[in-house]
Amino acid sequence: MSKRFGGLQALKDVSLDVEVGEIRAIIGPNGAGKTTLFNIINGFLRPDSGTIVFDGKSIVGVRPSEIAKRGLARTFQIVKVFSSLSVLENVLAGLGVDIYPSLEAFQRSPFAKEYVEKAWKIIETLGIEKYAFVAAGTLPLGLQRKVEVARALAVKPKLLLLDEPVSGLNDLETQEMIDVVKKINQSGVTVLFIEHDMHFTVNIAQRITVLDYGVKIAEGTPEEITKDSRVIEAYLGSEEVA
Amino acid sequence: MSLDYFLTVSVFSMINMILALSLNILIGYAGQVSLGHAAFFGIGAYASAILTVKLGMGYWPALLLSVFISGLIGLLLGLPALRVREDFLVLATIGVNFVVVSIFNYVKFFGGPYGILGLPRPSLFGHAFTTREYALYVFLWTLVVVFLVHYLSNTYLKLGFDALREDEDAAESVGVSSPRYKMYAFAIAGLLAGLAGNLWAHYMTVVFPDNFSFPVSIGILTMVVIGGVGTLVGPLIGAIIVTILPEVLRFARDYRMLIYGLIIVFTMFFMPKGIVGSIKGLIFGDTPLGKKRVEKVRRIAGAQGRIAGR
Ligand SMILES: Nc1ncnc2c1ncn2[C@@H]1O[C@H](COP(=O)(O)OP(=O)(O)OP(=O)(O)O)[C@@H](O)[C@H]1O
Ligand SMILES: [Mg+2]
Repeated sequence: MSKRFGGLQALKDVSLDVEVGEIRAIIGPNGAGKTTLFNIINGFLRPDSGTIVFDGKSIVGVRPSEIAKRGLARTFQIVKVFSSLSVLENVLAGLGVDIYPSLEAFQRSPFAKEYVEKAWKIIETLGIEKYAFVAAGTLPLGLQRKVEVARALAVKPKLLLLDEPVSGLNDLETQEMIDVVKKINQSGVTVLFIEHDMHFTVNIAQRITVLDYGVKIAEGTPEEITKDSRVIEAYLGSEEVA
Repeated sequence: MSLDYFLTVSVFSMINMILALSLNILIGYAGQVSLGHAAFFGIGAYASAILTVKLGMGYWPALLLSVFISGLIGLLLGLPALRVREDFLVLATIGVNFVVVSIFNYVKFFGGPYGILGLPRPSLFGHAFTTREYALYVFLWTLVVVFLVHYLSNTYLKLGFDALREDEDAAESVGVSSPRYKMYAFAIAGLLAGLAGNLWAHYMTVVFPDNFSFPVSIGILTMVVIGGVGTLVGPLIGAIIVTILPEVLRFARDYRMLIYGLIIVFTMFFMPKGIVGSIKGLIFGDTPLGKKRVEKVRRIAGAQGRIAGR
């Protein structure tokens, strides 16, 4: 697929094939087009050309809310929790994914037993029970990132997109996120993530795709990528490899 | 204070409550700022005036139809919200208010500046409502609306509105279609404001374009802001205050806009959550979830941990 913003070619003939069940990383320097790729996949942006097939069906031109309903959830590089809602409500909001488009939205209460139970399980998975009743916007960044992951999990995704899930987190929080993402993947969710943190990336990615100036320049296992000369030149040259 | 005077102030208060609840769904729930709410109010009133006076329809079918028309036009007038950014929406809704009042003023069919006179009071079993009975009738509708809004506040519809208000992208990412939910908000707000318009028109038995001008919209906004945006009780209290204030401060009537402006600015500065929001904050602390809900959730989850952040 390709995407142009005015004179800027944000993505050029990028092709990506994510297998069911894998954990795939997308790396690349700032402005490489990684977030743009996510925005196209989840329907915020329309590609200028190309197709996106999710779960056997094309999702080009489908509304983001509908794409979510089909089982694609995401988090945001710049966190977008529902600030004034409690953490619990953030998760309950995700559980409504099938309900919003139907008239059941006028009938069902998010505080019904079934939803609260499900939400609480997810909150426990992320280990944020302590903050369940706190307004999400008042939490530190590390916790807000967890809230976003919890909310995305509530969508019951087949594919989960994480845009820089550990950016701004300390070592402990990063380790916790590694554990969480592994756990999520083991439960059968395919994970596609963007990250600059190489410790995180190398630790959990089965395969890595490298973008540079909107072009895919390499793809392979973490070992292959860290040895690839084009990658080192374009990207790793300026960053420490953990 | 005579009984009639008391009844009139009560009826106005209750109609304002319905208007404030209606605007609160747009602003407080769905985050769609509207500064032209009197337009919806006017559409309900004029629709019923035309149906009963000009087309000779009975009150009850006119009630149904006028409310329906208001909801439908609310939905149509909400369409700009699907396209324009928030700050433009504010301007667009002001524009809608002026356009609607101009149509009432200049299109002959709508009666022009002299309005439409002689609206009937509703009657049941051949008996036309007296003023007292009409006040009771308005009271019943107010109850219905309060219960309806209370009911909706407890549904996924409300959580969809919350999500939309907090962050449109994030809302989409969990399955809330923003156009659909904006249209829900405008349609529900239009229905309720239309009901208020109908109740008002058949109480006054006359309608004039000026009854629905921009200052009226600001009045409705003031009710919501001082009571507490996004709460249920706030708009009700705000409606009473804004209705009674000019009655108490009779000398100040000519300075209505000035007073609304001052009230809004003062509230924003000193009680950004409005009267009800601030009192709640003082009693329960700054928790986004009510006490009852927290208890319910803890019961369900069997969670023992203390509530952080209190
Ligand atoms: N909506 C938009 N309109 C115009 N230009 C955009 C838009 N979104 C992104 N861009 C531009 O496209 C390029 C790619 O941006 P993108 O956000 O995808 O980069 P990224 O790889 O995610 O970078 P980072 O690592 O900094 O997050 C940048 O030059 C950016 O300025
Ligand atoms: Mg990015």
